[in-house]
Amino acid sequence: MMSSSQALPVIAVVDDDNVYQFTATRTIQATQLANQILQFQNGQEALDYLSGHLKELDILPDIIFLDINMPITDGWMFLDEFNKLKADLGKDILIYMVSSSIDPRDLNRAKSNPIVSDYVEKPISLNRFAELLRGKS
Amino acid sequence: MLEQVHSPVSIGEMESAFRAFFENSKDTCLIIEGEGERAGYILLANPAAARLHGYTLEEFHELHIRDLLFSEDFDLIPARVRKIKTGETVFFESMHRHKDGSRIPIEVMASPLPLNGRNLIMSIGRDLTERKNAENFIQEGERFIERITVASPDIMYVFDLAEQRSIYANRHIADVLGYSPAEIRSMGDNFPPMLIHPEDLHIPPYQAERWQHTFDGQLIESEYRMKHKHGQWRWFTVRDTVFKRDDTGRVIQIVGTACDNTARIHAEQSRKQSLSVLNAALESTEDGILVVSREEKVTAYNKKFLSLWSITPSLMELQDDRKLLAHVIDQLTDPDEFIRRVDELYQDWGKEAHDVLQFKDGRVFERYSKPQYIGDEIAGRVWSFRDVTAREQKEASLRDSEERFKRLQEASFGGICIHDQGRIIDANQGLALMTGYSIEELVGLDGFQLVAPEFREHVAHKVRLRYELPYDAVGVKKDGTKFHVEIQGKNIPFQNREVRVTEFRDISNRKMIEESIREQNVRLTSIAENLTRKNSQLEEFTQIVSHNLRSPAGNIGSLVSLMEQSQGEEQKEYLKYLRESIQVLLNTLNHLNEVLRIKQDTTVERQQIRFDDVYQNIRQMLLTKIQELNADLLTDFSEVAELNYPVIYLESIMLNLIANALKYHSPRRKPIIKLSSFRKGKDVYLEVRDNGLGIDLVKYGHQMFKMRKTFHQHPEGQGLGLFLIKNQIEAMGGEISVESQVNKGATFFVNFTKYSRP
Repeated sequence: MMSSSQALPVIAVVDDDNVYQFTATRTIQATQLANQILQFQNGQEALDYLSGHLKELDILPDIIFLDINMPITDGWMFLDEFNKLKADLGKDILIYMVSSSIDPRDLNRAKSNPIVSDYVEKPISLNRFAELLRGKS
Repeated sequence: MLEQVHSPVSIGEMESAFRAFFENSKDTCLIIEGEGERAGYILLANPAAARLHGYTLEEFHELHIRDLLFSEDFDLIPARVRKIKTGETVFFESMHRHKDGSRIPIEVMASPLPLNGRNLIMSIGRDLTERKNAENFIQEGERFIERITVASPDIMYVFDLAEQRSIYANRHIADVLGYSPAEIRSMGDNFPPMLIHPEDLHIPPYQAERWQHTFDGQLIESEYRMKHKHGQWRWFTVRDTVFKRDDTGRVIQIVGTACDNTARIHAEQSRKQSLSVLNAALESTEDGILVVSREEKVTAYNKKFLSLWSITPSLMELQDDRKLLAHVIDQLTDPDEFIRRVDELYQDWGKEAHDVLQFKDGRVFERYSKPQYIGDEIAGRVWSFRDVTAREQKEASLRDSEERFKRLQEASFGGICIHDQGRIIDANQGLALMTGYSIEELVGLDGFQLVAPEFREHVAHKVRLRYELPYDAVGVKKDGTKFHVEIQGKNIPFQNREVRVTEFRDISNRKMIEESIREQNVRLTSIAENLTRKNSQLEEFTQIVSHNLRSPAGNIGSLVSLMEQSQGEEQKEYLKYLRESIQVLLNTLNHLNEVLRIKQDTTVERQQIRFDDVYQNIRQMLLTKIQELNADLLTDFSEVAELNYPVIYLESIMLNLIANALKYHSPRRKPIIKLSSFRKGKDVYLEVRDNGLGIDLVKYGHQMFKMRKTFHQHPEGQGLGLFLIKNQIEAMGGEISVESQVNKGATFFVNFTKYSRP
């Protein structure tokens, strides 16, 4: 999982949906804008990874695509915990909330959280991923 | 005369003349011995002397002059005799004595009569009786007048018209006016202006012309005031008449009497005053008044009487009550009764009467009749009439309105009574029906008897306050049953006092309605809660649709677009994922169908089922797993053994909860699952308690019963069971809740009846 280019970001996809994990990874790869793609089944796994590699800048994600509805630790719970980790992290991480939900309450809740850069509705097209990844680079 | 006797005529002639005179004279003539021892003896007396003294001529010869005198005059004799002896003739009046002793006034002329050497005395006497009588008469007259002037209380005076002054006044003027007669006289010309009231100066007839055509004895009467010396004015009635005329017949003096009438005039004035007061009172009263004497003559009446009865003053002049009656009788509706009554009262003068007269023109009079007393005597009868038409109409309209009120309160559904400080004066049928008393029983009853004892003070307080708004209380019927009542009272004037009209409204119905409204409110509240729950379920459903269906659909979309750009083996991989996604989509749709069925199937059939029966089935279904885990399942359905519930739901609930407990058991200890049913309040509960992993409720509480939520990194957690049974429980009006501590276990409570209490 070593990065091939320092210029391209490390991406994390946090989602319990296997199919989504598969399609998202493939799509991101197709953009050729990502250095490395990390996959997590739920928020807890992602948090465990981050707290285990706080200062390892190479393998810490630059961008996290975070699902809202997940078992164990959902998107909101992840945000709460991430907020506590943030100061210890070696880099600034962009977080995009991702969900199939079109519930406006989810949208508002995401947009009102300063840690969240944007709220993105599933499914995410290649072009949309490209835009989001470019925004970082 | 004696000189003539001595005239030169012959003795014979003299003697003959003398004898004739002597014999025929009316005067007495006595020849008396003047000296010697026979001095004083009567020698000769004429017939007149004999007649006057009552002696015969013969008897005279034996008489001494003393026999003709009274002894008191004897002393006078020697002096007279001496005078006569000196040659003088003496005149004197004397009182002689009749033979019978009576007194004879006599005028005497005695003179010496020398005859033949003898000194005789001739005494000629004239009977003075008549003159003395006349003199006496005049004296007595004067005395009479004097006495009258003294005895009369009146002032008497003589006023000289020419001199314009009083020339005489009796002494009473001093008593009456305080002046002496002398003072009055001295006032002279000033008499009238000084004494007579300035306003009355013209009244006394002190001008001569007033008397020009008067005859003697004619009286002029006048009344005027004169001033007492001390200043008060006194009233006098004065009568003047002619006292003296001059040679030409003109009246020059008048004589008058003035009678002090101050008291009478004051009385007269006060009588006039009281008469005028009486008249004014008579005229100012609204009553028509007629006073009739016992002779049935009109003695007094007022104008109101005339106008009330349409009587002309000319008819009144006849003063005949019978004529008045004849005139007025046709105005009445019942003339015969009127006359009968009048006759009756004229039979019994002492009787008082009060009756009402009805007129043909609709007027109504009140008639009072009372005897008229003068002192203790009945002098007549006073009739007084009052037109009470307006009052009668008012009373009639009052009676009408009372009648209307009566009918109104009879017609009212409410119970109405009129009471005086609680004591019922009148009540309507409504109150009788409401309370079970008859109207007769209610009248006179203490109205507080109709109020429950615990409300009496409350009601009494309202009565004292004259409270007019409606208020609630509890009433008591005659049979003691109580009923809710609304009371409203109002104080009104009634027959000169204040009474209270109180209405009772039976509000038992209203109370029932109020009660049912309260129940309805509870029901509505519960419906509202239900709706809130339904709403949240709907929301949940929306989320499921939006998330759980969109996710696989989105995946399918992504996979399809990836597939389009790939070939061969790569495409096959996509296809595998595609199939997986479609399966997820279908599963989700099936679950949703199941949930929808639960939600819609509210009429799912309930039946009486035993907890234990259901438990035994589920235990069989899960037996492999129970044995595998060596779990202990304990049950206690003793408190509530049965439940009226859809069997499949209760099976579903028990299955899911037990399976959950087995699934999330703690690997560190032997699983123990306890099931029990119990009643708490009105509700029936099922409790499922385990000693498993437990759930961090702080973290996951809000998601416990949502679709596809698993809280354990556990292979079998699909997150569907709790979601399903939650929907089943809620569809039947129940609720599910959970208590848990991480690593100690969890307890699920199912309240079957929370929103559907029987």
